[in-house]
Amino acid sequence: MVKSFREGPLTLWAVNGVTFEIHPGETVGLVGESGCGKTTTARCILRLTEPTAGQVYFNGSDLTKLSPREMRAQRRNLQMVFQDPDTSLNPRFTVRRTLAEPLRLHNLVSGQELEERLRETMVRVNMDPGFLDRYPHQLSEGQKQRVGIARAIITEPQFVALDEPTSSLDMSIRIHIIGLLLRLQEELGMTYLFISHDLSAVRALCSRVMVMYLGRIVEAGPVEEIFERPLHHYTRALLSAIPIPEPGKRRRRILLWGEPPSLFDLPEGCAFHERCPDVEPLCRRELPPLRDIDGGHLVACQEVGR
Amino acid sequence: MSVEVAAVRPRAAAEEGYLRRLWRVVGEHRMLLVGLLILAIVLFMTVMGPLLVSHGPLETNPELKLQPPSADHPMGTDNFGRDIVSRVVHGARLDLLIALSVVLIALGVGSLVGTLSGYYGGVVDDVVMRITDVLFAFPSFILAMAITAMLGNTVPNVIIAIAIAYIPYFIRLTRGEILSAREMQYAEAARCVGNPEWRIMYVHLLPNCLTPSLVQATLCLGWAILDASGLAFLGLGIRPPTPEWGVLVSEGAQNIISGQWWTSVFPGAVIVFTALGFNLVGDSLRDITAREER
Amino acid sequence: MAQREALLRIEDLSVTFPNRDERVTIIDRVSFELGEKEIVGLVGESGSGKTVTSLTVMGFLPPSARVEGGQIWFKGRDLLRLREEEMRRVRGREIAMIFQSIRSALNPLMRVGDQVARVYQLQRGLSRREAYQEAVRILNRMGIPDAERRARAYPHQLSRGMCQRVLVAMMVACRPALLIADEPTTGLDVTIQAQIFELIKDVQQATGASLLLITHDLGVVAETCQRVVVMYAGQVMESAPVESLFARPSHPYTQNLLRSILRVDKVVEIPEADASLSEGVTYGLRGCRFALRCPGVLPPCWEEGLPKEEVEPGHWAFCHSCG
Repeated sequence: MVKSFREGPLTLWAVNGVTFEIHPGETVGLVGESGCGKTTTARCILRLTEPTAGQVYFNGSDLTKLSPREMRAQRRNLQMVFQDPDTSLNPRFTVRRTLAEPLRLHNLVSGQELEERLRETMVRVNMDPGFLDRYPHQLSEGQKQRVGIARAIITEPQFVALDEPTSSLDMSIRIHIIGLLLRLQEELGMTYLFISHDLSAVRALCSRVMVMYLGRIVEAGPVEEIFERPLHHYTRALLSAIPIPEPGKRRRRILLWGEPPSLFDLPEGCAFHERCPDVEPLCRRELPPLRDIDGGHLVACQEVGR
Repeated sequence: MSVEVAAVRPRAAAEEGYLRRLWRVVGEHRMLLVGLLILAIVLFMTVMGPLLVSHGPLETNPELKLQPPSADHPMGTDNFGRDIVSRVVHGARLDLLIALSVVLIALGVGSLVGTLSGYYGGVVDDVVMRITDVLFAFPSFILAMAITAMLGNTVPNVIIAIAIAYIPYFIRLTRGEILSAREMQYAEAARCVGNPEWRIMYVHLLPNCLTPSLVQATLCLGWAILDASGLAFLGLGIRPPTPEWGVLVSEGAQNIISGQWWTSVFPGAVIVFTALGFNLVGDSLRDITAREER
Repeated sequence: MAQREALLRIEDLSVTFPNRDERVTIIDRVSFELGEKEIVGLVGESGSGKTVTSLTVMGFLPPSARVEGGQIWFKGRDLLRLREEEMRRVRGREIAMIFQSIRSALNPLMRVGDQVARVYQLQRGLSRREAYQEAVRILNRMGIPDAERRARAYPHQLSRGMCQRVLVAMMVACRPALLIADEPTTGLDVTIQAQIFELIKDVQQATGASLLLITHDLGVVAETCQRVVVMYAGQVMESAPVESLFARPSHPYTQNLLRSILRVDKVVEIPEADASLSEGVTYGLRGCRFALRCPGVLPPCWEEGLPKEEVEPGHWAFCHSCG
């Protein structure tokens, strides 16, 4: 399954010409800070928001050209796990109803088979099927998030976008959810797009990562490569800002100057030039393209590779 | 200083049962209790009343006309010698029927339209809002009067007229709730899973947005009775000899001067009593739901 | 470690909150101390009681909460015994706090410069003009560029990172002896987070104050704190110098926690067992509240009375099966 994705600007200039491919079975991380456009990108892929321009190819066909009915039918293959377990489940629906709905909508199973599928899925996400008749307010945060994951995988989709699925969870639960996601991927052979500002989770889960800044991808490549040898200044600053849970192992902090510009009013040229320690006149004028520096490691910067 | 520590409790018991919670809530609110009591009495009167009265509502007894309250006629008799108790009790059915129909229509239409308006926004919303603005410009009673006058004096027309006056309230309430509900992630999740728009609106969002409307509905039940009686009193809507509380008050009004107060005061008191019941319940529900939300 | 009089010593503090018909002991016999010029991290997951503890120190508990026992010794006085007016004098001047919810800590109707100046007026008795000048000066020192202009802005016009700097400015206006920072960077981007922590550290160094840093982020603790207190379900589980806590965690809860951290600098081993069914915190247990989930649980763990073992000098574990 190849998916290539080209997209133009939204009125808020949230996403600006983002292009990438995701191959079957991959786990790609999309990282960046708030406002970088990662969530919007994912929502555009799933057409939860309509992209202003561009195409989204899924299994060869362009999702943006589908009619609402056709798109709805495709949704069994493209799912999403949402960030906030408190608000992503309908408070009036029992777990059973929430999970059965996708199956019913797509007429996948019914009757006894449906019941079995529900139980099977609950066990898959490590929850006791007895919880099927509970309401969200009777579940803990971690359990709610598991239900959210169960809902996403119950139609056995090929592609799952995960929008900060662990950001609102406690530390000890976080690692278990990550473990669960890894296992599920193996079992069901899904492709993940993992969106997060939590780089440590990305490192644990993903095989490839793309770094976004102000609506553009500034660096992309295999996870090990990007984390160990980041090239773009923003990536380096980002990684250096994360405190390491090992006393004594200090990191040299690259502190960025100032704050990101407004999304309504993007600067010309490289969006990062106002804060970049290595800025050159060219950076202010021209938008650097995403170039392959070193076998799969892509960077959008004039200075790198000189 | 020793510390008091509670005993271990199994997790299941931590969830307070729904019924028990209901009982506790009702017990804590005396207003609610009184209101419910009043409504219980009214309900009893409506349902059992006609079976218990000894006289028919339309039974005229010219020689017994304008008798003060007595053992045989606890509320006295009217101009035509009809037993007032009987008329009040039969009138209850009509009034409550009107009230219920009005509210069901207003709530139904109002929430459907309100949901559309709040969900889609844009032109649809603008149009609906302007229409409700126009409807709101008139006091509901005046509006009901005008519509009844236009349509004619039948029970269904009265119901429609009053319902139209109330629909804007429900549109506004529902629309407001929908506006915040549609931003919730579960709405997006519903779309993501493959729900068509209408299901997202009516199966997912609306049920979560009904609470303020239901509270308003309770209050509207009370208002509807007042409005219906008011219309009848003015000669619009229901006409005599159909027993309806407003009609009774109107018929009896002329007798006050001559000292036969019972012909209008009793029906009037019953109107007030019933409306009070609904108001008490509605107000306390409003307080309770506002508090639970916090 | 030399026996110095601690700046802040919390002893056996217990606080209850009402829950329907009964009271729940949200923090249970919490004890720890903070020395002068020390940075101590108070660590725990949600429901651990770390915020309630700090609120109790400041006297900011809601009226429904009740302190059921314990003392809070600060500079020789038990803060719990002080009257409201006396406590008010302590707040701001001697103990200052910044909260999680950045936006709601600032008055949306007042310019930030005025808000900071207000603190100077109230606490240091400066005139309006002097106070305002001080305010601008300190905003500048907090790293807010173009401080003159920014001081005239309203909170909603500033980014969250800036607002947090303003709050830090207000916090240190009086050079308090104790700073309490409760998750000061929740919701902030990582790069801004780094800036704010650098700022707080600088401020702490410059004023010589002690800092009680409440957080769930162990990375921050490792980089910033000298000592750590680990809490779970309202009880203190372990308390140690930062290096010994990370190198030799003694309490099963701490061990579990450290094994669960994801790291950016290396790939972490994901445990096989998926412990979803044992989630949920119970506040009602008599002994150790971790007993339900503890892999090393022993019979005495269920009884009243929390044990206290000094595993290493200065390293305390409140556990029967530690070490």
